[in-house]
Amino acid sequence: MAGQLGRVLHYHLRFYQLLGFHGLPLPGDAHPLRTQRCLQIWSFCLMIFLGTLAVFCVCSEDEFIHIGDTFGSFNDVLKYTVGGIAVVSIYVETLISHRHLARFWRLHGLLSDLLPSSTSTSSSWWRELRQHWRYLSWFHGLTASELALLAFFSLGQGTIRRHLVLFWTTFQPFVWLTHIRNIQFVLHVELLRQQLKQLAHELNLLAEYSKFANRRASFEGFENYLRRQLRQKQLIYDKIYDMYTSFQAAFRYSMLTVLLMIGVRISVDCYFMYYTIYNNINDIDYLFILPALLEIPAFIYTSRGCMEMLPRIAYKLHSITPGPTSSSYPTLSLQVKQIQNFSLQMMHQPVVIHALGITILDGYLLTRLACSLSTYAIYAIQFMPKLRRNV
Amino acid sequence: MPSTVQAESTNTTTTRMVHPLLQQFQQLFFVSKLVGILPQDLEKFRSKNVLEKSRNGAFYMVFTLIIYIILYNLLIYSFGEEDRTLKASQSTLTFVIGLFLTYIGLIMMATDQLTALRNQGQLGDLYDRILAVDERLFREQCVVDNSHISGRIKIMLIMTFFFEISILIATYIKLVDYTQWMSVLWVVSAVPTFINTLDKIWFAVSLYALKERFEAINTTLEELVATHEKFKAWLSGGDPYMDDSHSLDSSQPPPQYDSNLEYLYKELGGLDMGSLKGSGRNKVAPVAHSMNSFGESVQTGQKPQMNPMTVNMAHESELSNATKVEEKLNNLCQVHDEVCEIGKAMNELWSYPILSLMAYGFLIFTAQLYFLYCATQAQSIPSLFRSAKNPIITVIALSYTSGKCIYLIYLSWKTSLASKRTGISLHKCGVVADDNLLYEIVNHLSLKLLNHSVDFSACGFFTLDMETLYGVSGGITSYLIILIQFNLAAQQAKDAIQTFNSFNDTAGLMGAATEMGNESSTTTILYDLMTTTMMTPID
Repeated sequence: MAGQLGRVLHYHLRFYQLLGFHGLPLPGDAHPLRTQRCLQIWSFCLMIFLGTLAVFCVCSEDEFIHIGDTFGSFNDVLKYTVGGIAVVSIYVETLISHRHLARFWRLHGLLSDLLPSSTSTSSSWWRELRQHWRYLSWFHGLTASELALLAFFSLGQGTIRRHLVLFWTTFQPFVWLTHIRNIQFVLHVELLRQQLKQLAHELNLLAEYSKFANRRASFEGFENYLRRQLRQKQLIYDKIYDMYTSFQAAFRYSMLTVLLMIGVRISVDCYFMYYTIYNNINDIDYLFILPALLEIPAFIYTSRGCMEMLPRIAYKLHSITPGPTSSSYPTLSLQVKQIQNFSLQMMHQPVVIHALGITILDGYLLTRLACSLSTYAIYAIQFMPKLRRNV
Repeated sequence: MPSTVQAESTNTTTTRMVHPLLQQFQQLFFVSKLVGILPQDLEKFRSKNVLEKSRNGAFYMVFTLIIYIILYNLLIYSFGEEDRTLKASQSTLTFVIGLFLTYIGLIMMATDQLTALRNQGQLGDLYDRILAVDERLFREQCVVDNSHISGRIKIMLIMTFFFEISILIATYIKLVDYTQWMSVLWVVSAVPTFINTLDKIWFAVSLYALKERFEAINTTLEELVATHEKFKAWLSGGDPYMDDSHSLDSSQPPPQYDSNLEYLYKELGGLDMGSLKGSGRNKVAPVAHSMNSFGESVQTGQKPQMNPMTVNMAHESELSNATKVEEKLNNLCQVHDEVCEIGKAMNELWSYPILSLMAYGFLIFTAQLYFLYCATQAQSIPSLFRSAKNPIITVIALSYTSGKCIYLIYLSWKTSLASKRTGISLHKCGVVADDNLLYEIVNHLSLKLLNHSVDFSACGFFTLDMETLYGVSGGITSYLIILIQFNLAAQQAKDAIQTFNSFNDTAGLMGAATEMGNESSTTTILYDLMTTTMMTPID
């Protein structure tokens, strides 16, 4: 991995390593190969353990799943199954696609090395916090809210039934792991967005410079200089695009399964929330749903922010004003050709974040998810009175 | 001129070097011919690897189609007797769905066979065009390896046999009453899906071959880039990876986010913000005019002049010679266009079969899951869908059907992506070579590629890409829930009617008992019980 990671990234990647989500050694590690092997074995063990846990809970005679009506137990089985699939797919992906992830971080290192080192007087901590504040607020906000809810639940719930204890102690790990994986996506997309933002910023400066030079003070060789700058930006864009393809290749299936898991979980928990209120059961465990509601928007918001950078870059690119046509190229100036080339390149290489091509992670998906979740909630609620007779 | 001579000379060797794609289809063709999927001539295929029209083949195909239809109707008739007796116990919804879906497999099979009959002349042309593309690619030193295609076909055939036979045998043993001789007809139930799968293997493998051609074009372009990068690295005397970082590092360090115009001021000769703000306009001008204001100008002038000189000394990279590479890029783009056209033609040939397969997949998937639900509730289901009585057979059948649909969709999506990747590779060539003439060519070809991409669709109703899966899976879930709700409601209504009838019977009995003057406390209790049961709302 080229380049040094900042301390914020370093600690967070260590955290992901601990959970078996990041199967790569960090830059400062002493024995990279050995570390990588250990991390892969660790991921494999976690996968086996959690997969077995999911199967055990579904097949067990004990009160792991809701006992009362068939629809309720079907829902719980569905949750365990989807949770198991999601977690297993996460670990399988960590084991299989570590090369793509390594490429992502190598390119990130390469591009970050081009960034200026801290010239300001503020400490690097402060600079890093400012750089990654979006990711940090999502990560810590969501984690803190989950922990707070857990504390609230354990204090607020009077007598905890055996079913609830069994269900939540076994199911909650799946929920947490998928949520943390989701935040890991957010981290990667955010890094991608930062690179795109930096490129847009540089193009903006170039545009202003070109305007200034054309209006006031053009000079010999400016044309060539501008062209070379543009070419460098094209190369950088190509690297960012490579970073994007590595990201997509590194997180293929798990993106889909994590979204599915969170969606199914919300839908099922909405049903149980209604169920407990409808039957006057004194449980407040449905409150656990609250952080889950923010998970998908967190990811979609970040990826939308990343994808929105593209039109900005194109706009900045086209606001570069080429100089007057030089006599040696009477038809089309060199810079115009370069700008055209860059623009066409961007049309061929759009940064579109998608989950295995099935859905693009933009605002529209959020609308669709909200619609479908509410529709399914209504369906599920309709089932309830009908099923009570089948108990 | 020399290049055309070279092309002529290679042309003669091309025919020997490029093997037709159809060579790999031998086993598939024999099986297809046997079961009546393709009417083309067997002898011509065996001797010359071409698909030619054949009247006898067409007659044979129509004959098989008629036989299948007769046998399938016989199957429906003989197994439908159970349905007629069970009609009273089935819910109306289940009965109607069963009736509606009885013929869908047959319709799908007939679509496949009739389309193959219609396309018998065009199919051969399609493979001829692929052969022509292979020859053109070969002339561009871009060899497409067809040898593993027959392996793919074998795997697909084995999987088809495995799924068909496992579903058939498992259903026959577990769920069909094999003591009657008519039960042998159950074998016919596997015919439509088997024929459909064989037909789709033709499509899938041909599509895969097209994807390989796109990938071959992309690889050729990327090889050009890689050679040029190595060549440049060799020129500068460093290792190949140095060039990458060098080209990026040669820019001045980009500024920070918040320093909006600082970069500009730095460029203008190290003036800081404060001094510039205070200065008048005329003070800026002399600084901007000076050559020293951008440190790279000296290098900039030298670089383009350096390249041609060294290129003459060591001809290693094609990209450094724009006029020569222009022809190559043009040819590759033309081949790309041709492959896109072949893809469109192929999609056109199989448009109705794909539409019928997708409709079949959607309906059967929903119906099978619904019947599985019915079977778990101990309700009777149409006899043709008896595989739904066993969850394991259902899982196998569903994975077979969905696997077929999803694989086609996935392959179409991948092919489309591969065709779009060509533009990316082309731009890489342009940027790496950094030549004025080449930029012109690349811009022109890039526009051409943008306007000419290949997307597969089912008769234009929906595109065959992964996004369709989202819609389809949502649709299946919604319909399933609605069907189950209807079923629940119908079941409850039926229960209520039964209870009411039995209540009437009891009341009749009770009336008789009263008449006989033999009133007992038990009947009163029973009467009370029935009344309260009937009066309680179902909430």
